[in-house]
Amino acid sequence: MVINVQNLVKRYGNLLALDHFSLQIEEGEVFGLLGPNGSGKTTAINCILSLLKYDKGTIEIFGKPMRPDAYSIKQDIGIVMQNVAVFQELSVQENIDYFCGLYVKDRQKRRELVEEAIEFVGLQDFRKFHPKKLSGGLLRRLNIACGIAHKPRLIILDEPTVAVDPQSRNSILEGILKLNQQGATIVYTSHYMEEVEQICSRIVIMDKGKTLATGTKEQLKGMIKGGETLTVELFGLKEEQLEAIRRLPHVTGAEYDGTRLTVHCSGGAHNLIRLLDYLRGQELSFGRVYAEPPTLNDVFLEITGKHLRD
Amino acid sequence: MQVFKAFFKVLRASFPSTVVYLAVFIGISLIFSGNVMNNAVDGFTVESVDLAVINRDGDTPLLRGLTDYLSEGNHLVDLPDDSERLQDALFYREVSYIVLVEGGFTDRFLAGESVTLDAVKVPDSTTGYYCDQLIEKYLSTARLYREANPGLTEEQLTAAVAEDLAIETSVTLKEYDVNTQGTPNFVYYYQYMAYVLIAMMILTICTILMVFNQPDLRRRNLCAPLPLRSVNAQVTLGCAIFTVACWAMLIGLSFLLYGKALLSFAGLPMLLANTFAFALVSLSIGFLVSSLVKSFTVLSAISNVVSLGLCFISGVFVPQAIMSPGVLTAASFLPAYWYVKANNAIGSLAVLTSETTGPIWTSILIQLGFAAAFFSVALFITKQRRVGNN
Ligand SMILES: Nc1ncnc2c1ncn2[C@@H]1O[C@H](COP(=O)(O)OP(=O)(O)OP(=O)(O)O)[C@@H](O)[C@H]1O
Ligand SMILES: [Mg+2]
Repeated sequence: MVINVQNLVKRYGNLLALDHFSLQIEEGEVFGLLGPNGSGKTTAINCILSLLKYDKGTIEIFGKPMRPDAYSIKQDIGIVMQNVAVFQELSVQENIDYFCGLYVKDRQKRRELVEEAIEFVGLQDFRKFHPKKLSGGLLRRLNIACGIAHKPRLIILDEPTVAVDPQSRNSILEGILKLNQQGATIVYTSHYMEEVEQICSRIVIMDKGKTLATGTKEQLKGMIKGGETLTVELFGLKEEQLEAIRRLPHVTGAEYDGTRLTVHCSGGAHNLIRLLDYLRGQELSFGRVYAEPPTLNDVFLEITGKHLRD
Repeated sequence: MQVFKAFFKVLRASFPSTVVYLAVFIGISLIFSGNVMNNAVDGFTVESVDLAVINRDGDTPLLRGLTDYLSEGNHLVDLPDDSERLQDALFYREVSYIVLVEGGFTDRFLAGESVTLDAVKVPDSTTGYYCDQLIEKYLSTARLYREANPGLTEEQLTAAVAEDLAIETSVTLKEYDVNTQGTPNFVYYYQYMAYVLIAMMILTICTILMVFNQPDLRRRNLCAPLPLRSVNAQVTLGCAIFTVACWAMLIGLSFLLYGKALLSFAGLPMLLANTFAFALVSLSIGFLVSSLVKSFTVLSAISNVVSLGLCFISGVFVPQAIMSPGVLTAASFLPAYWYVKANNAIGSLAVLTSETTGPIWTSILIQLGFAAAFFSVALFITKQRRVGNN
């Protein structure tokens, strides 16, 4: 097991930031830590890295207890912080070389690793640039390069795509998958469920410092009774018709806002056909129709009663 | 030595601003130390201006008093009242100032009319302004006595004014005495060096330390397989090297400027020891400020206030000899005071005996004590903060 966290408790004064938080991550996984803002993701990461003292619990990495002076463990970890942590005074190349040099002493080897990292994040044209001159997306890429240049076994990324345009985001996500294919275990925190769904093989959903559910995304979606969500554009739906829709089989809820009817279904097949048949029977003409499979947001919604992003 | 290398890369980045500061500081110190020499020379000539009084009014007590006052320390030249002769005298610098007293001046003055004395002087000369001032001072004092005490006879008035002015004059002379006698020029350079050194070091050291203290970077460093001790040691080593480099650079410059005089100066080792002690003090203040300040914008303000303020009340810009005892007592709680004190003592050393050098070494030791104290406080604050963060 790469990471084994048991019953971690961390308080900031009166605030319980981690409440008996547990986590097991196996070698080779892309593991997602999904939770809304303030749910304790960064706190959990900082505790795992021994950057924060915690009140209770045990943390093991690579099967050994993690401590501030566990340098042999730290040697194999790459960390990409939520806040960009680079020297403004150093160029892109110098920054990567600095952080890589904290792990790799051999100059020749380091030169190769730095070069590889620069190419990996696509900053070839910006080697001599200083961080001030980089756009938000490029800065994030530099932040990542600084964390992964030494080819660690375990890479922890704390919201590496915050404030990044969709294109950069995609290239970052692809890069992370590539690192995983090269053998690294990945821990990825985010409050974007789309990202986590896209790249993570296993996911833990957390809120208020607690683990709510763990599993693959299929397992997580299977945990809830919620199924697909149907959306139909139409005018003039009457209140009693909405009531009738709510009584259709497998329908768990329905809302109508004057132009758009949203129907939530649990499992079951042919939900859309049944709904459309009903609407035709009522001689209601409708516009576009969508059916969406359940998302992690639905999972989160069902467990906590609130949306991932409020 | 990754951190150590980064230290100098960060230093290099803050180099342009440091160099600008340095250039300005050096310029200012050169002007300052140049000025002190000029002032000393000026002070001397001013006191013996060659001047003439052309009296068309008659031998009144008031005018006699004025003439006596002007002749004090200056050289009074007898000239006939002949405009061509006067012009020649001025042209050949026989005199540089001629007072022209018109007929009826004394009567009109005593009657309370606002009258002035005409003067012919070498154009734009400092001596001219100096004499103007002397005359203005005499007449305004006389005016004051006349108005305050209308019953005085002309003789009494003149005597009172003479007495009044005599007091002030002797004080003025004493100041000049303290300031200039036998002090080698480079002593002034070394005095202003305190400011250059401290301003430059606080700014640079703080800038670098604040870079390394940024919470995100610190945390990032803590993730690496490198003891915090090692990171701190490398940063400290960088600071130490920078300190020695700054000190050596300023000393080197002093050799360039005052080479021979310095090399043959017996107090040289003490001069070097004193500046080095103060460099350590500056470093420790840099540490302390960086442990207190969190934003780069506040830093430059703070570093200016600290370095200027410290130097000002410790007598770097104003000679300690003319500062009030109260200020000096307060300043003795500051390291720069001891630096200046030692520097002055070194400058006025006539012979090197344990009796004369003893107090100097004491001042140097006191500075080292300050440095140690500042380091300890800075360490304490950083430790507290680290515990607080967790
Ligand atoms: N140093 C601190 N002192 C006090 N409270 C803190 C501190 N750091 C975090 N918290 C609180 O702990 C809780 C968890 O914060 P944390 O930063 O771990 O959340 P997060 O899941 O990383 O959020 P985000 O998605 O915004 O990064 C929040 O309520 C936060 O306000
Ligand atoms: Mg966070």
